[in-house]
Amino acid sequence: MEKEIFSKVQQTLASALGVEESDITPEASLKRDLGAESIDFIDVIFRLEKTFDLKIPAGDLFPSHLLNDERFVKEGMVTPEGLAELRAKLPYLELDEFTKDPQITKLADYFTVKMILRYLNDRLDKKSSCSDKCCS
Amino acid sequence: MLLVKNKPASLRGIGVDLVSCSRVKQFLSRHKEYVRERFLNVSERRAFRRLSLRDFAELFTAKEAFFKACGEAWMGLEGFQGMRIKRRSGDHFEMEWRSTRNQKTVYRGEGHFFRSGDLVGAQAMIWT
Repeated sequence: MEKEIFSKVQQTLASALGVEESDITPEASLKRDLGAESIDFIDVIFRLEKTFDLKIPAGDLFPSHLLNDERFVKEGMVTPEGLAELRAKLPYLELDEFTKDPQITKLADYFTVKMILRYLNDRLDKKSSCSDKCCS
Repeated sequence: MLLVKNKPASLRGIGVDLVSCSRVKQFLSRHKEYVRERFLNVSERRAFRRLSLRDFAELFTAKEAFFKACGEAWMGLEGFQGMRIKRRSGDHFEMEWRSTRNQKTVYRGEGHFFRSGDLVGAQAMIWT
């Protein structure tokens, strides 16, 4: 199941970002390594929704208005409360490296392929367990 | 409604964005309906019954430039929908965005579009 998801994500990202499938490794950052820009993030969200037949709500995969809160961001830096909020709301995002220099404008560098894979595995697990229950 | 009524006191931020029309064309050919539902807000849906490549490129770069000028993290589709753009004469536009989380935070700004070959761009300035 995980292999199949990874393969589909590789195809989706390679097609959206115009890169080779071999470039799509779990550790790759969408922005820093694969050159994704803002329009690409939207393209990726829409393509993943179509490929996996699910809706990715705003703020579910990438932080939406989460950080537009004075408690969470001060002078361009994510506060400890903000980091805790990110961890709680976006458990798929790996923040260990980011916490060393939590500049809000650098957060997008930490959106990785692994983050997408974790998110999809979780969503698809829930979806299949829900349909199992519905069928039984 | 005029969003920026008087010249405000000081410049808070500047943002610039640029997009290639060929990338926009490819994007719209796949996601036009999603764009209407998830990127445009209600008034934009009314204003752009037929969303052209140029309309979308301008809206997108204006909103993206505005985000950068705000100095906020990328806020995704919800953030884009929350912005209001008012086209003024020529390539001038005005913008307003009210934070969905903290309603007291309102960003106001203005900017200009520019074009060069396949590229469409926007620069935005936010005033305090």
